[in-house]
Amino acid sequence: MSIASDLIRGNTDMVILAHLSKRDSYGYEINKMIQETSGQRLELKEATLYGAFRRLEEAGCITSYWGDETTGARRRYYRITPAGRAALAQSLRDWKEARDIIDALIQKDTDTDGGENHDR
Amino acid sequence: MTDKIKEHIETLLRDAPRTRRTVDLQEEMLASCLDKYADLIASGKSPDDAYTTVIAGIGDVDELLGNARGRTMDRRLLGPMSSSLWSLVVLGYLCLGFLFNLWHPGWLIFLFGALLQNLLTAAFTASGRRKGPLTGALYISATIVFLIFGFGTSKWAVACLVFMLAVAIQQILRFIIIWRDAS
Repeated sequence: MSIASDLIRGNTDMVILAHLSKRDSYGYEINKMIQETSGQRLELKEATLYGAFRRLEEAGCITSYWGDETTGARRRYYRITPAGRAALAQSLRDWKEARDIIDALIQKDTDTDGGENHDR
Repeated sequence: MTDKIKEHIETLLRDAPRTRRTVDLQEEMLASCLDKYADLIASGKSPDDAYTTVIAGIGDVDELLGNARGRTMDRRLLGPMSSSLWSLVVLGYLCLGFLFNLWHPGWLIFLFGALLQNLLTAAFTASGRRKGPLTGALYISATIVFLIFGFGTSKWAVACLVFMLAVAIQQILRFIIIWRDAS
């Protein structure tokens, strides 16, 4: 689980951009989506999430605006920019390529192991 | 309980400089925590449990504040650089004394050392927390000017005015900082 969450944390930016590519959203909603979609197996810390927002905003991948909530604190909404969409497309290509390579490498190792075990 | 959450977030961000960025971050975190708290209560959690879950979910904000504060030089360098500074100051003092017999005004070099130490500390401190070392540097500068002017002219009463000037400079700087943060 900890290795899995490290892997996911390394791709937080991609997860956020993927969510924002569907619609504008705010921190809590994105985290809730991550929690629900992952079947309660993953929840980001607020600090991790805001760190990612700041990074993406500085990189010009997202912009933000304030909601008009009248009760309590205002929500800060994020919107993906064209540069953000391009970055997301690139990350998805990289991710798929990395996944294919790792899958292929693991597959090969497993086959070899299987073969050796079979010989014994 | 929502007040307690608000207080907790304020405490977390207490040491951060009061910039637009921190204020925004505080409001954003508060909105998020209150949403989460309301959801947890709606799902049947007790207020205490919900509060604990919300607080635990915030995580390490220091990393985030590091980002908000702006990067500074590696603080580990401060120690060795301070030691080198003071070694050079002592060496300089001994040289002035033994080679030129300037023991008397030569001791002023320690004040210059203190000034450099403050500036060095300021350089290694996050912007927004530099007030201490910079105020120190200002008053040490004032003392240096006071002593040099005093020894040079013997008009100590006039030299005293430099401290009033230092106070004035400090107030002007404070004003500029407040004005800059507000805009």
